Amino acid sequence: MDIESVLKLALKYGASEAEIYLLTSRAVSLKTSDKIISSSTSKVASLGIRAAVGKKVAVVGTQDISDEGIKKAVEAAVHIARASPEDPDWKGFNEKVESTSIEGLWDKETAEAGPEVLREVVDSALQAVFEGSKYSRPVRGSFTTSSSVIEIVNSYGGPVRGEGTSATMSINVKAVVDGREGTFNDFDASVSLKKLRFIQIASEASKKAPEFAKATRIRTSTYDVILDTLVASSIINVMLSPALSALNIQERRSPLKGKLMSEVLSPELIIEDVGTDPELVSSRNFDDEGYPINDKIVFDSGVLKTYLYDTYTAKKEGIESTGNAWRTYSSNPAPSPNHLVIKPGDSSLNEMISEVKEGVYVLRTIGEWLSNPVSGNLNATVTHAYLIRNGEIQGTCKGFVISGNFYRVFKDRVRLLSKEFRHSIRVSSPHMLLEKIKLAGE
Amino acid sequence: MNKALKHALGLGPQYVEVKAQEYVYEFVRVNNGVLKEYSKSNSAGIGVRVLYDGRLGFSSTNILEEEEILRSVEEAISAAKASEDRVEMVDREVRKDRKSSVLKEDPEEVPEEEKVKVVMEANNAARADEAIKSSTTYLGMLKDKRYLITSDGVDLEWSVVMTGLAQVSVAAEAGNMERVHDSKSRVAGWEFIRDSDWNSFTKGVSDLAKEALRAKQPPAGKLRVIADPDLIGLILHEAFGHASEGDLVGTGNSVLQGKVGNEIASPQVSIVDDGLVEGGYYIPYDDEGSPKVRTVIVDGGVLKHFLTSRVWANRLGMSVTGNGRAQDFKNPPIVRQTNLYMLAGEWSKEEMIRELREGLYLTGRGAGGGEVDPSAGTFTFSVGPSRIVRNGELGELVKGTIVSGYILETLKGVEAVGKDTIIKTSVFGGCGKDGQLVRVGYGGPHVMIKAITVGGR
Repeated sequence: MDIESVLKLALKYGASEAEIYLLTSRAVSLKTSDKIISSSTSKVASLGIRAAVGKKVAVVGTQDISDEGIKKAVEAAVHIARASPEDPDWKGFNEKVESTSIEGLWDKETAEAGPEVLREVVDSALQAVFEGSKYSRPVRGSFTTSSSVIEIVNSYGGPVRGEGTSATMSINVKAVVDGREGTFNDFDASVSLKKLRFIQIASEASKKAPEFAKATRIRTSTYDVILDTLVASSIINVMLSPALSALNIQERRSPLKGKLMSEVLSPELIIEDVGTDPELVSSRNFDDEGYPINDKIVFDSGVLKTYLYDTYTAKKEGIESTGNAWRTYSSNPAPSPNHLVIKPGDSSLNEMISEVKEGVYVLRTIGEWLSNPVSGNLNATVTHAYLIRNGEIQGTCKGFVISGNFYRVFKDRVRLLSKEFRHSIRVSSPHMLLEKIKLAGE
Repeated sequence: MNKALKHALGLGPQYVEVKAQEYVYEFVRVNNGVLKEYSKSNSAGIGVRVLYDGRLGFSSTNILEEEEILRSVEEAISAAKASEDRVEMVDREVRKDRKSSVLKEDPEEVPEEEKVKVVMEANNAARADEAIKSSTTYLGMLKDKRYLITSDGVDLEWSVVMTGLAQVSVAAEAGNMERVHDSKSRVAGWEFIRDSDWNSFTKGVSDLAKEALRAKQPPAGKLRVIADPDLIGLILHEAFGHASEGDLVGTGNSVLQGKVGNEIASPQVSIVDDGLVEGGYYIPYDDEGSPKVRTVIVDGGVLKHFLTSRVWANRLGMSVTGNGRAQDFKNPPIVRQTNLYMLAGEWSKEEMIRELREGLYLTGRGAGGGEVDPSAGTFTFSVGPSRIVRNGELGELVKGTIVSGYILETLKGVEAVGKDTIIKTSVFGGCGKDGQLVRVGYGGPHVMIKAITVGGR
C-alpha cells in the first residue's frame, strides 16, 4: 500500500492536514502444556488515518485494507473531524518526521521463522523443565515470534519506515512434593530468537517450583522487603509510566504535576527513558508520530527532570516532543515511556539478603496493576517469596499483600539497589531492598 | 469463505472451520470540557482452523485477496503439523442459524454531533465541584458480526451491538489526589445512551471521588466482609471462573482439578455460566459453532461441571458447553467464560449488615479488576471506596484498596447470599487470557464472607 496516496486522498476530501500510519505484522505462536497444544500464524495490516480540519481532529482505523475500505475510512476521518467541536489546544501534527539510525532492531531468522523452527525452541524449553527437577513439569506456556513494519507520513514530512522483530516466551511450571503443590512462572523477551534465554528460563523455573510446595503464610506486620528485578520493574511501570505522561499532567491526573526539579524519589534512583538500545524489545527508530527516538534522564538521583511528551502535549506547552508517542492504529497517540531503565547499584543480591534481619525476598506478585497511580496507593499480592531471618533464607512464603504509598516507599524506604539487573518488556531494574514495609498477612 | 473451505478440504484435513468477522468500534473521549479523541475502527478478516492428522492448526489474515486467503489455509495446515497434541473433538449439534442482539437504534447511524453532545454534557455535570480537578468521560460503541462455516455443516451468522459510557473523576485537595471511575454498558443500541441519565451518573462518580479524598485507608489484615453484587461478580470471575475453564483444569492449572462431585463451597453457593442472561454480553454461539448452553458449575456448594470447548469436553469426559471463544478473526478459540454469576439466595442486604456487626462493606464501584493464579488458587482484586460496618450499621467511607485470598477458602467461607442478583458487562474492557481479550459478563447478589485479606494501613 502506498501511504502517500492515502495522505493525498485525505487532503483531497478536505482535511487541512493529515497523518497516515500503517502497521503490517506477522506472528507465529505456539501454546504449550507439557507439549505443544496449539499453533497459529497471523498476518495483519492495520491502517490509521488522523485528519484535522482546522482545529477539529478525528482518527479512524481500519483493517479493511481493500481500496474501497481505505476510501471509506479516509472519508469517515474527514467527516468526523468536520462534525467535531474544535480543540483549542490543537496546534498541528509532528513537523519533524525523521528516523533515528539504530542497527539490530530486525533479525532475519526471527522474521522468517515458521511454526517448525519455533517448535525446536519450544521442545528444548519443555525438556529443560523436565530435566530441571524431578518434581516439576511444564503446565502452560506461550512462545511467539513476530515481525512488524511501521510506516508513517503526514502533511509535513515522511514517509519513514521502521522494521522490528521480537521473540517472547512465558512458562508456568508446577511441582508436586509429598502431595503438596508448588508453582513458578517466568518469561523472556528479545529482539531475536537466538538471544531468547529459553533453556535457562525454563530450567530455573523448574528448580524454583518445588521450593514453593511448602510455602507458609506470614503475620501482618512491618518487614524489610527485597523486590526481585521483575517485581520492581512491574511496580515502577504501573506507578510511574502513567504519572510521567504529559497528557496526564496536563489533564491533572498525575501526582507528579508541579513536581519538576523536585526530589520525588530516593536519591539512590537514577531512571533513564531509553528507546535506542537494540537489546530492548521496545526500541524503535521513531515514535508513533514519526518523531525520531532519543534517550533522556527522567529521574536523576530522585529528582524529576522531565515529563514525557508527544507532539500534542509538547505543542500545547510550546516545547519539542520527547519522542514518546505510543498508539494503536485506531487511537490518538499518547505519551508513555519507551523503556525505563533503573541504574543498578553496588550491592550483590547475597549482600542484600545478609543485611535483612527479618524480612522477605519477593519473587512474584499478582495484581500490582490494580494499584492507583493517581493517588499513589500501591498494592500487590505476593504469590512467591523467600522468608529471611538474620540474613539467611529460611524457606518460602506466599499469600500476603504489600501496600502503602508508592512515593513514600520509593523516596524514604529504598536502602540498596543490586548490581544484578534484568530487562523486562518496558522497564529494566536491579533488585531493590526496601525498609519497614507493611505487609498484610494472617 | 466457501472457497477457503473447499481449498482446505483439498489438502486432506479431517475437519475445517472458516470464520469471518466484521467489527466496528467507536470511541469518544472528553476531558475537562474539551473533545480529546473521536476515533473509529473497522476490521474485517478471516481465520481458518484445521484438524489435520489429529492436530489443530490456525491461521488468519485480513488481506482478503484470493491468493492470500488460500496461502492462509496452507499456513493453517503447516501450523497443525507443528503441534504435538493429538486431539479429538466431541460432536455437537450442527446448526444453520442467524441471530442478533436486540437493537432499536443503530449507533453508527446517529450523527457524530449528537454523540459528542451527550459526552460533553455528562463531562460538565461531573466537574461542577471545584475539588474535581480532572473529569474524563468516555463513550464506547461496538458492533461485532461473526460468520462461521465448517466442514461438518455448521453455517452461522450472529451479531451483537453494545453501547456504554464511563467516567473517571480525580479530586484533589491539600496535596492529596483520589481517582474514582465507573462505567455502565448494555447490549443495546443508541436507545440505551439516549434514555439514561448520564449527568447524574457522572456527578455521582465525582461525589464519590471527593468523599474518598478525605477517607482513611481501611485496616489491614484478615477481616469479615460483605461484598456487593459488583464486587462478588469480580471475585467469582477471577477467583473461580478461570479455575473452572476446562483447558486450565485439563492441563493441571486449576485448583478445581479432580474435584467434581466434591463440596467446594458453602451450601448457599450456586454458580452458573450463561450466554444469554439479562444484563450480560450476548453469546448465542461460541466460535466453534456450538450453542452456548446455560452451564451449572456449582449447585448448592457441589462442583458439577467445567466450562468446555469441543476438545476439552472430550478430554474431561464432559458435554460441550459452548465456551470455545476467540477474541476475533485473528485468534483460535480457547475456553473462556461468558456471563458467570452466583445465583440469588435469601438474605436482604440490611439483614446481612446487621449479622456482620463488625467488618467491612466492600463495593465494586471504582474497582479496577483483578488477577488470579488459578493453579495456586490465589486471587487479588481491587475494591472501590468502601464502608466500615460497626455495631451492625454502615459507618464511614474508607479508600479503595485490594483484597486477596484463596479461592476455595473464600467460597467455603460464604456465610450469607443475598436475594438481589445483578449482572453487568462492559464495552470498555474485557477479560484477558493467552493474549486474547473477550467481552464477558459478571455479577451476583450481596455475599457475606467469613474472612478475606485486606491490604490497608
